[in-house]
Amino acid sequence: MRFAGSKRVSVSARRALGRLALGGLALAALAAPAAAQTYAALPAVPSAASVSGEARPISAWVTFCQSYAAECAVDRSEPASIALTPATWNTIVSVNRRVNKAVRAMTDMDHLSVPDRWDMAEDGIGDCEDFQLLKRHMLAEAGLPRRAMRMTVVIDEKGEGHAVLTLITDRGDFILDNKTSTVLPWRQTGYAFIKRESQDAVGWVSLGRAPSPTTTANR
Amino acid sequence: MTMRPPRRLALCMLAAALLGPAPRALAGEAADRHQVWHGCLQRSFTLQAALSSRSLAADSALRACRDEEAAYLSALSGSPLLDADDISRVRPALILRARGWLLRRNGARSL
Repeated sequence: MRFAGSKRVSVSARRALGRLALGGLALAALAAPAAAQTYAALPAVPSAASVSGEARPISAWVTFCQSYAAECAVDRSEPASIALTPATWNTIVSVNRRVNKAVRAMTDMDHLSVPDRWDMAEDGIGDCEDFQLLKRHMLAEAGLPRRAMRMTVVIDEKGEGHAVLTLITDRGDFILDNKTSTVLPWRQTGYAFIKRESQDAVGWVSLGRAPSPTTTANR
Repeated sequence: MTMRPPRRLALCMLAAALLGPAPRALAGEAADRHQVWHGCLQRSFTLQAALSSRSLAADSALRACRDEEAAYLSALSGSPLLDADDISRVRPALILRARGWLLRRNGARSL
């Protein structure tokens, strides 16, 4: 394990964020480069994934939560949904794009010789879940409720397990993904949604069975 | 020498702990198996669609490629993100997605 305690984690994470020139960015600073995906173009009819019961947590997530307890904590006094405004939307799009650009994608096996480890790409290298954990950390620092940002497991277009970040908003569920810098409504991803972190407890919940109608199977 | 069961059990547990978790599927194996399954579906669909409707051909292809599907799901269960419950729960969605893929990919043209 890379970190012994949450204090060291916090210092290391901050250092990494600084290295990526991403930490502590203000909403105004983030807004500028996100013009391509506009708030006005968001779908008029919100769509949200349905939760169908408890699911078993991923073992690497359990280990992650032991080291980064604050990243996994669920504060039920926080809003369960993000109230989207043009400014928050721009922040989301910008963080997604910048993290996707800043972090180098590599499997945990190639990088660390372990099948799966969750962290926040402190050394600038990570796999799918590391990108999303870093995005969530940054968006929470920007003021978005962590409770409305849930780590999610899907089956991707290649038929493999994949981790993304679901943002639960008043305009529906949106997906942050390291495979694309476009923030998509969940139904437009083409993924089969399996499970995500609970909004009510430190744990996981199953998601509905129906796959999204638009597939990206050929991309 | 015959070991008493509790001692044997303790040794087994120690060995398991030292060896670590069961080996996970190699990276990309699920994707490879998924491709093999889709290849089977496509070939079967093409043959069946010459004899029946596209909808029936898709159902028939899904039935004909059960072995490939099982091999894919088995490889998928090696993903550290998924467990056996996840796989069995998502199977209907994957079948539906594959059916949709077959029908969309082959368009409305007659085969």
